[in-house]
Amino acid sequence: MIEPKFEASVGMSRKWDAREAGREVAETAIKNLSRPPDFFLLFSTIHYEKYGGFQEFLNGVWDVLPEGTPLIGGTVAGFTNPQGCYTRGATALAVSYSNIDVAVGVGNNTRKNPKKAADECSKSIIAQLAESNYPTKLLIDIIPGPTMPSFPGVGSHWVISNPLVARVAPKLLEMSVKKFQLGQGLEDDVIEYLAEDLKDHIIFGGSSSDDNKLVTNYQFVGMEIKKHSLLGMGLSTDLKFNYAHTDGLSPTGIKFKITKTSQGSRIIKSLEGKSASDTFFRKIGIPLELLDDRILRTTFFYPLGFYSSDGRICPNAIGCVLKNYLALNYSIKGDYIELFKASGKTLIGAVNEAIELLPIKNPKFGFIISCLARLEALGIGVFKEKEILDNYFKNSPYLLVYMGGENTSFPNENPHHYNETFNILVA
Amino acid sequence: MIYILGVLLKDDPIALVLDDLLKLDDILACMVARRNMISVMPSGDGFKPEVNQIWDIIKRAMDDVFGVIGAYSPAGLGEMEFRLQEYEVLFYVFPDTESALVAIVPALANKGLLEVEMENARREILKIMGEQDTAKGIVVHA
Repeated sequence: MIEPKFEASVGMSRKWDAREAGREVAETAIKNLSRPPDFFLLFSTIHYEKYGGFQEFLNGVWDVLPEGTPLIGGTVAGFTNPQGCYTRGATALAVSYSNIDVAVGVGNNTRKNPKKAADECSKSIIAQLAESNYPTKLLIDIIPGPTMPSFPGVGSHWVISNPLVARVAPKLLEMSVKKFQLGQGLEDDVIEYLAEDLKDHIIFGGSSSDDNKLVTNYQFVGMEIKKHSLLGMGLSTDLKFNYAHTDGLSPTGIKFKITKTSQGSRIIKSLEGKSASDTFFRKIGIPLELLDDRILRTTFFYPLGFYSSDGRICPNAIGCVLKNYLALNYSIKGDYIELFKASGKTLIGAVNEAIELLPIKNPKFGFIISCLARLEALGIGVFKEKEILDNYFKNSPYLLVYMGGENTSFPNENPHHYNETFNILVA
Repeated sequence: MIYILGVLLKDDPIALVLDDLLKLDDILACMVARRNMISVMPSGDGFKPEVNQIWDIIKRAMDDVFGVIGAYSPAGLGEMEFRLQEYEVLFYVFPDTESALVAIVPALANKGLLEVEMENARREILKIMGEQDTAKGIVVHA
């Protein structure tokens, strides 16, 4: 019996020119493969928007990549691979394997209609892989991540202290999301609908992002650049995947009863019957009058979160403070939120924890999705994460991307969308 | 006669590393410096104009900070930073020296992401310095 041939390779470019970077990332990704890739995951930081544009970047990739190679990807805040840690550049993971069937699906306008986008994407993948009989079904997804809406008369800020603007901001935010597709990404809705359609699939993905300014982000599929589209890479294969999820957070026991919400529980208006923002910030010792746009850095080590029905911690980043209200990244479930805590040490420790959870000790390759908030909090500490990953993967290729949100779903388990987590998939 | 074999470069490679760093939106200025001296500047037009009005006071503060760097670098001091008005100044010390890669960024910048590229620049500069030291050390006697 002939052993099925598996190869994986990671490529990279640090060139500034979009076309040259596209060529280089593709060249370096496929040069070590003995046959053309069966699928190609492509990521870049936002910088090519100003240095030639993403269409030129993608054109450069296709100057090199064999025509018809299944390709999805998007913009990310940064990445780590065996060559180093970077918050500027492009990277790719190319895989070729004899026992794999691949399909790409697209669902448009995720914020306008998350269900329709999920259905579009999943139906296409199901149809394309209908004849495939391999036992493992995996969907890698990229969902457009959150962007900061612009509030009239105020501009884009994390903290809105003007009471008049803040009072109407929830309505403006809802309109901004549905009509202009700016604001929260509604990724939690998308992943729920995807999981309904693809019950037998492992789903592993993240939200595209920029450099944490949350102005814009892009998705790449085939030869096209998208801005508001869900992308899915469906894999049907006999590879066995293992997965681990950690966050480096620990509960403080400080809980708040949610007494009023809006926007599908994405905005918390009151906690314990009082102003949500005042109640929360008073608890962590930050007077509201001193609060400024450094909110993410201030609150990251005290993230809010809730427990899902299956007992998982679901950390939820605070997107912005609208005077008395807290606008979160995705919907809160349940009646309580809890304050969690983290430190640089526990965030890095989460990488070790994840690796210890994995039964595979000699992986063929790894794909890791971590939150850009972890990158922002760790800064230079990501080089320590890399040391841990290098030690685990040894000579096998791996790619870690820092995205604006992370999602997973498994057969017979609830789907999850998270912030601030570390998720590793290995084969 | 003594010939010194080395690599003569038209552009200072360290300046090219600084040029790359300066292309990032939130890096307003960057340099390799030590107390009372800027060793290497980016090769283009210099710093971004936002820095001009505050440069004098930042430079004075930098020189005071280099006093600390000089004292503690041998003990393993790696990074320092301070905030002055609406700016932060980041120092990435070259190990066992009194010099550092210095950058000026806006106070609300996403510093975590910038730190990664500062570290990459420090590593690249250290590699260049190592290569330059090796090149200077090759001497042929004729």
